[in-house]
Amino acid sequence: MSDTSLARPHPRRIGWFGAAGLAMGGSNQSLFLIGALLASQGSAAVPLLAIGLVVSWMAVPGWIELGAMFPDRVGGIAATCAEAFRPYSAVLANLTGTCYWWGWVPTCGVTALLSASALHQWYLPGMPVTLLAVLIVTAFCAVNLCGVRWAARLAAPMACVSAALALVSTVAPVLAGRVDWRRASSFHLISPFHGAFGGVTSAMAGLYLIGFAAPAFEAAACHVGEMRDPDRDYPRAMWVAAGTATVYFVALPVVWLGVFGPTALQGDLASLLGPTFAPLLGGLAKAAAIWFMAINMFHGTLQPLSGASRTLSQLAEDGLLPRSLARRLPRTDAPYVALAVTALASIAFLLANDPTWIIAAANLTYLIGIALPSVAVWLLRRNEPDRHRPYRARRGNIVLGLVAAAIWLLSTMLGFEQFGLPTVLFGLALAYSGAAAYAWRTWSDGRRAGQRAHVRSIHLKLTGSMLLVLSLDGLGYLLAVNHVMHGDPALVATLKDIFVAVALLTISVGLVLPGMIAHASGQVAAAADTLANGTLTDFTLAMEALAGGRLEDATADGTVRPIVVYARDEIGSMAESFNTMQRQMARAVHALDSAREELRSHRDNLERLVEERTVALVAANDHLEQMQADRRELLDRTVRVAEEERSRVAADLHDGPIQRLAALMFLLDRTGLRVEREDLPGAGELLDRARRELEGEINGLRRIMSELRPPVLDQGGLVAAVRDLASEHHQRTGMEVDLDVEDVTGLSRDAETVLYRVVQEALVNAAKHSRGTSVSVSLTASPDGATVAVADDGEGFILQPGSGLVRDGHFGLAVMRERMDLAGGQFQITSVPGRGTRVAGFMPTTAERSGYRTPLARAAAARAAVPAAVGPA
Amino acid sequence: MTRRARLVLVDDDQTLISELRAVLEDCGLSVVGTADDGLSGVALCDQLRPDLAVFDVRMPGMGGTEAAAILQSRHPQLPVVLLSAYDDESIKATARDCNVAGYVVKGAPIRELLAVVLPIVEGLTND
Repeated sequence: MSDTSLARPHPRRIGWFGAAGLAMGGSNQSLFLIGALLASQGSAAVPLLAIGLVVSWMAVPGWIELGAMFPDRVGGIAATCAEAFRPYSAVLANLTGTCYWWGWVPTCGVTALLSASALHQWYLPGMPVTLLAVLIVTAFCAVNLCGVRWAARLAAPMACVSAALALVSTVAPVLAGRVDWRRASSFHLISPFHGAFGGVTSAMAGLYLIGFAAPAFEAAACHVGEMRDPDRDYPRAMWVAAGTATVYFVALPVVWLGVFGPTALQGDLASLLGPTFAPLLGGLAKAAAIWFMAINMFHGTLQPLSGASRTLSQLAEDGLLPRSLARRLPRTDAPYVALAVTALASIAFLLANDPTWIIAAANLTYLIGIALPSVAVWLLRRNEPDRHRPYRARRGNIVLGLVAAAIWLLSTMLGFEQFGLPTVLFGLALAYSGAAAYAWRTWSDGRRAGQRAHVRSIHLKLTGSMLLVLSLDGLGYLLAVNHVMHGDPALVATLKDIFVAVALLTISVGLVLPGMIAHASGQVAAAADTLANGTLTDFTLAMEALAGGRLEDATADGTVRPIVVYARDEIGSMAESFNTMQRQMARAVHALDSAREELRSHRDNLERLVEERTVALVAANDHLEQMQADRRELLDRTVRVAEEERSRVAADLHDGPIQRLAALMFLLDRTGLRVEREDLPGAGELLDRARRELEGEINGLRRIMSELRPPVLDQGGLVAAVRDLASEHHQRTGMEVDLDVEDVTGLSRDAETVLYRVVQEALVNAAKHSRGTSVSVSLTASPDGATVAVADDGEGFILQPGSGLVRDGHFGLAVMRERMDLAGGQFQITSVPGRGTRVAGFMPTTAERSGYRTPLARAAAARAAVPAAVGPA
Repeated sequence: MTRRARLVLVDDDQTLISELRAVLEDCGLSVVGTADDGLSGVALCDQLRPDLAVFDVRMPGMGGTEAAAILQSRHPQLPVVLLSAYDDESIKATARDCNVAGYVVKGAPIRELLAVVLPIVEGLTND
């Protein structure tokens, strides 16, 4: 089936009543069938009608199920088959729909002719019947152009009047006692030749014609897509139409047979039926009979124009017939091209006067059109058992539908030939016509898509071969018939049957089978193309992208589009292989996705790791740079402090000893003057003064010296020096000093000096900044070194974690730490606001320090060893 | 007639001033006033018009060289002798720039100061 679908929804404008009213247009077929049936089958036509009715009833539940499954479609059960036959063969779907349409067209013409002749006879004798019939078709065509709503508005009252009159015509004669029940039940079958074969053939021919009972049962399906509530309206319309059909096909013929007898009933019903209405309608009986027939014939013209035209448009939307047939009027949704084609075909038939052999030929196609939907219902049950079914027929009804289809096909084979070779040939031509239209559509779609036509397709070859077979068969049949002795009609009938069987086989082998093969192989070819040019190419590109590291491009579409081929032959296996290949491909694509995601995840992890390391490195670098800057500033400050210290010492020397000594020199000069003046007592007095002055000066110089370098450190060691500091601190500041010192050994002179300076600086800070009242000083020895600690009970301060002492302005502390660090020691300061400050320094023994480490390593080790190195503990 | 030369001594060290004053007076010079910084030393000179002023170089506030420069402009005839703890050429050069009468290092025997002072005051007092 073509992908160039034109399908679009229909406006929902009618309810069950309108649909049933339109469908009743199918029931009137009994009115023109009955005469022909009685002529060929005798009074046995009535039980045959009943059997035909039963066969239709058998198929109805399946048809309702089928139509309800596709509530957006129009065109009847045959058009709906396209959905079911899609996985099998587009040609089969096309054949069903086209055959169905052909079945309706002659009816449209013949009913127009019948109503026209009634009007001509009773009201318009001056107007030719044919012209009148053409005008009737044209008028109903115009009504249909106004949309299905107007068609239903016209059909519903006609159906009501028709049904009422039918009821009167059935009931009134019974009540009036005008029915001769013996005549109504003495059935007699006319056989074309003697023997059982003649009887069977005759019965089959009757059944063949009675296939025309089916329209009364299925015509409502033509408008499912236009019903307001298809789930409710559609089955209801179908049951109502089927009920009415029972009246038309059984009740009316039985009563009429009882009233008029088989011979009279073969005449013109419009002139004949008056007596059946007379008991109730009296003087109006004659007019009632005429209008009963006229209305029914009008109805029979209106309905095919409405229903069958939609079959064409639906098939065109499905891509099975030329595109133009799908055109619809935007306002009324009327399929105007299909309607025109239907009307023109009907007119053509009525111009040919619709002879019985044409009606019989159309019946061939119609029976194909109603037999295949039952097969479609069964196939859908088998292939798609879980599909939603608003109406679900019993399983037995599905089988009964198949039985009905078998009966129709059998009656076709055995009854068809009764109508002569022209019927057979014409019927076959009609059946093949859809295939030609489909070929045209396929070719035009291909041309639109820029494809070349496949002249050498399997389809064309097989169809051509089958047409050749058909021709040869026909030739053989004609040769055989011409050489049969006259008076052996049974042999001729058998030859005809064989010919018909071969003809029907050529339809299935020549059209359906290659269609199925072509469809299946087309599906497989499309899948192979998708796989090769789509998925596989995608996959290759994706693999190349993966190899090139372009992970974003390493994607392929692994969607599995399963090929639906229900054939259980080689093509079915091939399709299954393709499906397996697709599934494998999908697995490969899935694996590719997993690989890509895994790679992406690894790459992301790596990038994250690099980012983290970079951040850590930048932080470490910042820290180092900060340390460097701190150290530089500290060095500057140290140099400055040292210079200030020198200046202070110089100033001390200038202001103190130099002045004192200069004064002493003047004193000695005076002493010398007194000696020269021989004032020896005066000189002695001055000399005593000079001695005292000199002594004072020596003490002053010693003090300066002590401040520069405490001698106790050199003489008494660190322990004595710390004791001195503590004692001096207490004396100088008045703070309580809690001293706890241990003897330490093994420290170098430098190490002792550094620890001494830590204690000295810490005590100066405690006095200057802590505002505390006591301070504890400790010196503790350990096997690997010595630790000094000074803790005050003052205010403490906030040590910003992470910031440097230099940046926070704690230069004294920073110098302490720097000195400790450079000397290979560790420095720790903890301070909590309100709980004082503790400064501690550790210096290793000389032995420990010989394992020298770089300053950075020492800093790292110190940070690791003293987690609370900075910040409140 | 011969009169005793009148001197002003300016130094921030009181001990040194008193010892210097004692030895200069023992040598026959008259110390008419003392001050302990350059500014008050200059004011004293303005007031007393001494024959000679001895200024310490380094003092709080104004030092001896600045004071000498001021006095040079105000009282060009007033000889100023600088007395300093520094035996430093740069300070001596600054002193020379101020046209001081002499520069004597502290701690030297008094005769070195007298060697500068006495020739000046003798010239003045003999007039």
